[in-house]
Amino acid sequence: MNIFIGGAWPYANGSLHLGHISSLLSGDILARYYRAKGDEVLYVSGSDCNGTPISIRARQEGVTPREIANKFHREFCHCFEKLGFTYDLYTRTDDLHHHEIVQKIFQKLLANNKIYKKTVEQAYCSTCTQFLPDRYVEGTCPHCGKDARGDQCDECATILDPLDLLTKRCKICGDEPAGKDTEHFYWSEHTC
Amino acid sequence: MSLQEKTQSTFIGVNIPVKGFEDKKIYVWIEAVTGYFSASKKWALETGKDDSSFWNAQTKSYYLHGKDNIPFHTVIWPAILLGAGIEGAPTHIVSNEYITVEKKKLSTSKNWAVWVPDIIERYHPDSIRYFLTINAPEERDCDFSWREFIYSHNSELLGAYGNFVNRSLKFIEKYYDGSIPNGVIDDSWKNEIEQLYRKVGTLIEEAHFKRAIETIFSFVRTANKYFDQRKPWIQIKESQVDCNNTLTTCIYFIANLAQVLQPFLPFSSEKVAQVLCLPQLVWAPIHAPEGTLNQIVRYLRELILTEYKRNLSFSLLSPNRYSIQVENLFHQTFFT
Ligand SMILES: [Zn+2]
Ligand SMILES: [Zn+2]
Repeated sequence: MNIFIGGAWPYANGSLHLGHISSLLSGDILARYYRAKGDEVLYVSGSDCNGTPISIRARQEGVTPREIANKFHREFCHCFEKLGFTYDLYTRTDDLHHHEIVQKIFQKLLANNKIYKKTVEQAYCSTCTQFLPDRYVEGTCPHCGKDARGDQCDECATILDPLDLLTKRCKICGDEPAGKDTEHFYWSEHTC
Repeated sequence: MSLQEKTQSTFIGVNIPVKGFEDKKIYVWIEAVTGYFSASKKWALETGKDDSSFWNAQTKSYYLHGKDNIPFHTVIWPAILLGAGIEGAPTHIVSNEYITVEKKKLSTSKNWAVWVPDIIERYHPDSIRYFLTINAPEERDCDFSWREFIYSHNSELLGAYGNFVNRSLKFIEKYYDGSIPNGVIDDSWKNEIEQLYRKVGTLIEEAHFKRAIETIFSFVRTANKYFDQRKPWIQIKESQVDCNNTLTTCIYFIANLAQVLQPFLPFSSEKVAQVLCLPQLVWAPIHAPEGTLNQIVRYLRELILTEYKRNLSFSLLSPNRYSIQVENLFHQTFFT
C-alpha cells in the first residue's frame, strides 16, 4: 500500500509553538507506523515563505523578507529534527521548483476551463497605485444617501458595487478612486 | 501580461462556498496547497524515485493541520486536483482543536505560548511527544499546563513504562549476569501482544492517536502487574524455571512495547532496541530476543528518560519568551 502524508506548512514569520507541533506530530506517527509495517510512505511538508506577514515582519526588523524566511525556515528544521520528525522532504515555498509546479497547475486549470478569466472594472486608486478591495472603498450610498462601505450599506442593507457609491473615497489615502479594467480569475461553476 | 502579473488581481468570485476565503487571491489558494504536490515532485527529482505511485486513487493520503485550515484541504485542494486531472485526493484529513496554555487562550502577539525552540532545549523529545499525544486535542480543546506536563512525564512515561523496563533489565543484570534467560512464554500472552498490534494499528490508521497510546499504556500497567504478581525475586530462590519464564516474558513485553511505541516515542524505543540488540523495529510481534544485554549501552549508562522536577514559580526569562526554571534530577534513569 502507498501512503502519502502531508503535514501543514508552517508560516515562516515567527517561531513554532506547541500548538503547531500538536497538530503536526500525528504526521510523524503515521509515517513511522506505516514504514514499520512495510508500506511505501511519502511524507512531505515545508515552510511557507511567501506572503504579507513575512514582509511586515521584515519591514519591522529592517531586513529583507528573504532573511526572515531563511531564519525561521532554519529554526523549523532544527525543531523538527530535535523532535524526531522523519519527513522524506521538508522544503519551502520560495523554492523555484515550487513556483514552476504551481504555474503549471494554474495553466492546466485554465486549459481545462476549470478557472476562467474575465475583465471587470474595479476601483483603482492612482495615489496608492493599486486596485482596491471592496471594503477599501467608502462613500455615499446611492439608495439612502448615508455613509457606506464598498461591499454593502449597513444603513439600508443594500449589497453594493463599490463603483456605485457616490463621492467615493480610498480608505487608505482618502483620494477618489476611479474605475479601471482588470482581469480576474473565477472558478467555473461546475468545478465544485 | 505575465501569469504572475495577471494573478495579482483580487479573486472576487464566490463560487467556492468557503466562508472567510471569498476574497483571497485565487493564485494564493492554489499556491498554498499545491506545495504537497510540488514537494513530491521535488522528492522524486532528488531521490530518483517515482512519485506517481502516490498520486493515484489507490493511495491513502493523510493531511495534518490545525482546524482553521480545514476548508483548504476539504474543498480547495480536492477541487484543484480534480481540475488539474491529478488523482489521489485526500482520503484522511486530520485536524486538531486549539490548545490553550495554563487555561488561557494562546496568543503569539502577547507571547502567551510554549515556544518549541525553548521546550526542546529543556525536555526530552519523547516527553514532549508523549504529552502532546496523550493530551491530543482531538475532540475538544486541550490545555497545556507545566504541572500536568511534568506530572504526566514522571508518573506515566517514567513511572509506568520506564519503571517496567528498568526493573526487568536490572533483575537480569543482577541475577543472570545480563544474559537473557531462555524461558517459555504463555500462549495467552502471545495472543494479547498480537491483539495489541492489531488494536493500536487500527487506531493509528483511523487517526485516533490518543486512544492508541492509551491502549499501549494500559498494557504497560498490565506488564507491571505481571512482574508484581510473579514475584521473580522470590521465584529466583524457589523455582529457577518459573523465574526464567517470568523474565523471558518480561523481555518479550519490552521488545514488543518498543516496537509499538516506536511511532510515538522513537528515541526511547531506539535505546531499548540497542540494549536488547534488536534488529530493525517493525510492526509485527517478535520473539523475546536471546543473548546478552548490550554491554556497551549498559556501561554507558545512557539516559533515556530522567525525572523532571520543576521550580513551581515560572518566570519571564526574556521579553520574547516565557519559560520556566527547571531542575532535572538525574537520579532515576533506565540503566542506573
Ligand atoms: Zn444605503
Ligand atoms: Zn488611495
